[in-house]
Amino acid sequence: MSRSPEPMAVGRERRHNVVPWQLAGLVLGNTPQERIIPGLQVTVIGMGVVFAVLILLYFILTLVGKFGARQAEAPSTGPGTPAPSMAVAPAQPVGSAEVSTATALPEALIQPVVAADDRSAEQLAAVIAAAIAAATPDGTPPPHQVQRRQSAQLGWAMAGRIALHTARETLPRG
Amino acid sequence: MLEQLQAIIEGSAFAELTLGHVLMIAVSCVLLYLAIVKKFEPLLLTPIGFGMLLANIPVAGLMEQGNLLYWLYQGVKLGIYPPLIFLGVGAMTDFGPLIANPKTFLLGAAAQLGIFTTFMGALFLGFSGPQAASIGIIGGADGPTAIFLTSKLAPDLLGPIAVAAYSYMALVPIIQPPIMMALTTAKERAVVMEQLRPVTKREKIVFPIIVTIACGLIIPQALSLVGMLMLGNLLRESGSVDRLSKTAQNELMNIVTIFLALTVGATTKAETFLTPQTLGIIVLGLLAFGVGTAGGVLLGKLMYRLSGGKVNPLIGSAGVSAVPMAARVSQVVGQKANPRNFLLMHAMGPNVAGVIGSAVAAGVLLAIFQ
Repeated sequence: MSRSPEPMAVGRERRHNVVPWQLAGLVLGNTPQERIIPGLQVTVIGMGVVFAVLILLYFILTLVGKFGARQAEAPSTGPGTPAPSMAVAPAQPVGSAEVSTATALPEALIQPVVAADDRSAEQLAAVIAAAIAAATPDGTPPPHQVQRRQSAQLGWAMAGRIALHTARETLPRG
Repeated sequence: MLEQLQAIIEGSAFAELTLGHVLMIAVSCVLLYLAIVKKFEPLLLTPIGFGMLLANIPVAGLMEQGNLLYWLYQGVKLGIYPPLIFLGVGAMTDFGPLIANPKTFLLGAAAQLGIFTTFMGALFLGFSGPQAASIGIIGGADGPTAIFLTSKLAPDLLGPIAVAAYSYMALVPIIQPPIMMALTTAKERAVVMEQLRPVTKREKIVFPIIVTIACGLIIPQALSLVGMLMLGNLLRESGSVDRLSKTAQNELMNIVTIFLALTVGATTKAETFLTPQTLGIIVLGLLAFGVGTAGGVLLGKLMYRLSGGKVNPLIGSAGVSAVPMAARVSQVVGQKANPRNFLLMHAMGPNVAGVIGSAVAAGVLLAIFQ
């Protein structure tokens, strides 16, 4: 381990001989006590710069996010647009089965819908209903309602479960 | 004939084998065991362990000028491989959770406290400034960044630092939970966070460009790492260069990983690895991880208080940039407190912010000490 005093920092020479990072006059001493102050200075500068850069990025991204949100709101929804809890028109029945207006779809077939806006959510629900209807065998009551779940967490919960299931490493138990 | 046989025997490695070589071969076998059997960071520790094995068979001289590993090592020495690894990392990373909740940048910054605390600890133990900076960067929990900085500031410590960094990254699920449990209350750990907002494609495309410009202008020394990270992410998010994105994530990443890890492992020769310095590095590495975790959790607690209980402090521990292991640890610990809590995507925000934070920290140290 090096014990001799040494210059703390040697920055790069710039065109105008300005070295922005050089901590002039700081020398690492031989003893731990002589090294604490320069070490603290580097720590303060380092953490300060890291925080400053990331805080700047935070502000920029917050502005970008707000600007993006305003642009997304710009095409306004019409007065007839249904509420986020969507009730879709019954899908075409597969085969000759009549549409039952009183049949509730089993929970497993109701897919959670996470949509960015009402129009795309309505379209998405229609696509889901048609896909289920096409996939179910003849005689099965077709879906007549696709509803958005009340819990806002379901989408992320599913994403979390998928990520855990597909994770290659397993965490040690205990 | 006897003379020829004697020449062969004297020319074999047995003639030059020392106890140090035997010990290092044993250590390499332990690393290979951990990687293959225990699955501790196998993608890195397997080639590192094997590189260590190759370097400690005497007489072969694979790392000497003109031989195979010497030329492959130039990619490390010249700082080429780590940025290429970051290119692949960026192509594999989804910054959506971070963009959706930019406040998690602060948690990524707080977790870098481990770097500078360990830097001070290394100075206290008598390491030089550049050596202390290289040891401190272990706290960033970022292998390529640690290798990049060490290859420039203290190449003689590259082997022990790389082994320590990757070993501790593999031990994140063991190191972090006790610290997280000690610094948080049951109520804080059970906090369920609100769902993140959807992130538009435009935001995901603009993000890497903004980060590159901001980081590059403030810390140009970090640009090779941050720039390649963001290029990889842009390849992924643009949607128009799928071939390049897939190549960056797969073939390029795998090839560079093999070369990097093999040659880094080959720097761990007995005479440089079996020293008191290595023991100091291993102890300081543990300190780095611990303090980094604590820093992130403590800022998470502050955010919990300031937000009125909306932020779960556990996600702060994911600010160390061991992606995605640290985020999974937050998920597991959070779920133990509340089985209905899914923190994984929330923790990914500080996790990927930590990658940027550790690269910035490396740039700062490079600016000061290079």
